[in-house]
Amino acid sequence: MQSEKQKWVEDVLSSAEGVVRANAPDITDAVLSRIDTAGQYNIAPSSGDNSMIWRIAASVVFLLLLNVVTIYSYQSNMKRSMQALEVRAAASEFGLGQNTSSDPAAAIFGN
Amino acid sequence: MADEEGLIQGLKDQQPIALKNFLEQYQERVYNTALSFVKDVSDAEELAQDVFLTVWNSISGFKGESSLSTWVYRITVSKSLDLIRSKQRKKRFAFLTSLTTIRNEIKHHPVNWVHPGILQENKEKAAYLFRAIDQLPDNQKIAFTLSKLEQLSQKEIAEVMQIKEGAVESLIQRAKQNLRKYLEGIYDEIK
Repeated sequence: MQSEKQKWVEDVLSSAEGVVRANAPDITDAVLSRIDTAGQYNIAPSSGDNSMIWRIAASVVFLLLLNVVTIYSYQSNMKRSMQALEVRAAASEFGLGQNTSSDPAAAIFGN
Repeated sequence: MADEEGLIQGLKDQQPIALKNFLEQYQERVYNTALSFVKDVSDAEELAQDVFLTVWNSISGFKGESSLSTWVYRITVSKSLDLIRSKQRKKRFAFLTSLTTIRNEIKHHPVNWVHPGILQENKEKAAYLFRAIDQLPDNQKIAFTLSKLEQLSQKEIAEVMQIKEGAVESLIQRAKQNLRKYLEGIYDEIK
């Protein structure tokens, strides 16, 4: 004897029985307008395809420029960071910036 | 058959009248097949247009090894699956981006779609069936959909899928087994 679950599953499985075709929208005009009707039906790319090539080329150029700007910006930041590190290293060599004493003169010139 | 040969020749000769006849004869079939797979009326319409354009552009290479209808079904199924995969990729991407947004909104929603040709009294149950069909592997999905929704014979399905008839029957049986499993899971969810 089938359980309620099995019965439900079989009911759902058979719910596609007797399906009829849905009314298709008339796409004749849409298809015809997408085909090049300038005197001949041809397979050659239309002017729309040329603009696609230009768009792709422009995107590639843009991405290259973006890469260049990013690399340049990264390098500048790295250079600035390195310079800051060098300054800090130099300052710590002379005991600057550590502020171990409340005497500003001692902080600069040491004890 | 003679009609089909004439139609094919007319298409190869790029005759506008042949194209219009071809559209009249096939658009319902192509649209409904696409609809069964992509489950969206505007996607199915767009896809149907793509199928006819592909046929128009590739007809010179059609060798007549299969019937025209088999070839058209093959193109339709192939393009439908491509669209489904493309939508799944976008869904995954949308899900990932939704993880990074501050607002807690879901960018994609589950589909409770029903084929418009399903009988009214079966629509609620059919919605669950379509959810389960979505989870099938491609081959089983194609075989089951073409068999149950397009009502193609196993011989026709075998020609479309370029496999043996026995393999079609096996795919349909496995599809049903898997559908039962998925539906049992759905039953546990809703009850």
